[in-house]
Amino acid sequence: MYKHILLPTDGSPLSARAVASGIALARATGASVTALYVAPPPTPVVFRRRLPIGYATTEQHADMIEHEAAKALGAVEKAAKAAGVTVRLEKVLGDFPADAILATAKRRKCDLIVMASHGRSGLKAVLLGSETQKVLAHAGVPVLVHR
Amino acid sequence: MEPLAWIAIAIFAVSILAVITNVVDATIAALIGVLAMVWIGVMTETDAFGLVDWNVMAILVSVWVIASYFGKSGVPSWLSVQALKISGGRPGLLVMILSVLAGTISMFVDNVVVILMMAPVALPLARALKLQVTPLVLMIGFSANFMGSAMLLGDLPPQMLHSVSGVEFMDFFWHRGRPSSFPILVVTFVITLAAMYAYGFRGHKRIAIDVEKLGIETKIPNPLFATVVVGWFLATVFAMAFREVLGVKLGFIAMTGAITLVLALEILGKRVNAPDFEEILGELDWRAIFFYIALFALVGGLEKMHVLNLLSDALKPLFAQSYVLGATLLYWATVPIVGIVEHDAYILTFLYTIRDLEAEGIAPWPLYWMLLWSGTLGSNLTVAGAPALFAALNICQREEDRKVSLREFLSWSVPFTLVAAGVCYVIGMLVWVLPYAR
Repeated sequence: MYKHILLPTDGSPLSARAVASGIALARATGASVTALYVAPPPTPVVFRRRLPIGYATTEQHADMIEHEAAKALGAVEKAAKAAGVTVRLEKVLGDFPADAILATAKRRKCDLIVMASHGRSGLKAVLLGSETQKVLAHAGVPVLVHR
Repeated sequence: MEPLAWIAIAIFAVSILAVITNVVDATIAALIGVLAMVWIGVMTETDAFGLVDWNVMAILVSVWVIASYFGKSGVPSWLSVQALKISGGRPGLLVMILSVLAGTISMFVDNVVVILMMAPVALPLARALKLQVTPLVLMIGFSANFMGSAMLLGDLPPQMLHSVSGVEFMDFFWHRGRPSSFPILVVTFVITLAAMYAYGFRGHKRIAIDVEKLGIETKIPNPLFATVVVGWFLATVFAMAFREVLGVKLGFIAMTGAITLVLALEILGKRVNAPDFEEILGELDWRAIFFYIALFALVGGLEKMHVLNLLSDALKPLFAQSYVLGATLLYWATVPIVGIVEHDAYILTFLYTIRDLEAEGIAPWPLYWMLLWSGTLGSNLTVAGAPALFAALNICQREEDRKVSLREFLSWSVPFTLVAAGVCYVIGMLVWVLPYAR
């Protein structure tokens, strides 16, 4: 069965539920998991959902991103450890989450990707096609989409 | 307007559209445009050849040849290491020093060549100081692009200005009793760098580093080779500054500099261990060279059909009514346009148009300079505006193993371009436009 599951997370509640399913599946199949957080590169302009919302020095912005990443990945680590599943945490910089997910799955030789049907992007996902759809279209391994 | 003029406009528009959209290779698109103009009868093949400014092409190719030797002399690498030492491990200061270095070199060397010679050295420096690669390389790209128009040698637009208006090397320092491109762009550059430091590089903490452990060449490998190349480069620039005394074309002086440098290196042989001339020729950007040749012929085709006269006729009332408003519109329309279209074609077209405006009694010099500056500064807005930024972005993406998004690029390019264009506009208006408007 599956040996290494990739769990992308953006820290949203829906993504947390997908992570919980992925960890349950890993426990059932004896797989290890890699939790992935794709962070935007720190720039002086701080964006939320592609809209500029403020200014910070790049160091401050990097700290904010680090904090968000640690929170999201820490939640996965805690849940995995509680389930007795081996977990590796990974943070990747980039504005293209789907590309980062696909590249990480390939680099870490993951044989399954478990992810939420949509994350923080909300309406944009409906209008433009979500990162999940891009992963589904291009992944070379099975993708389990959690709704 | 006669039908052939409409056909010329259509061919020009389709060719430039193909260049912008990259549907086919930009050079091929431009050359096909010239072929179409010749076959349809807009101009003869002799006209097409004659419309190319071979003096400018000689400057371009000759300076590239000398710059190629300069790039292999180890001097850029040595200078970058000195920049690191001067910065004292302060990342923000290092970015500023490397930007100044890129800007300075780009006054003599093609912008893409500046990127290609500085990036390999800047990358280990960025890693050592825990700097993000993308902002650093982009700042080098912006700076190279920016200062390319400060003097006559560094980029095609000032050379095109020389071709169309007859402006000389020294005119880039002081022209018609007032400061021109070099002083105005230097002041603008300093203010822009200060603003960019405050915007994106002030928060970085100082890091202690050991230069010897960086893995980059800290010494110039062959001091004799470097001395000959730098000496020849400076002598050529010096000779170009005295073109009027020498009484020959700038292209001929540049060509003399390049050919005699190759000869000197051949004579010195193994003592300098210079790269083969064939290797240097092979590394020239021949696609760009043929693109520029085609561009001259394409815009020349429009000029021959008097299309640019019509454009100047249409613009004349605007400048005649309010010279200040006309110059302002020209400047601020150019900034975003050259950010999204190939800026050389745009600038050449409007240089001819301004020359035609002169025939209608409109003072051309403030407009020439404002066009040159807005055309150069605006091309930093997106990757589409300048090949140097395309090269810089590719280096960033390769180094970071990820795509750099438009959002991230614009986070750096928009403030840089806005500050630079805003400061240059104010100085340009005060020094050039307002005195002529009176």
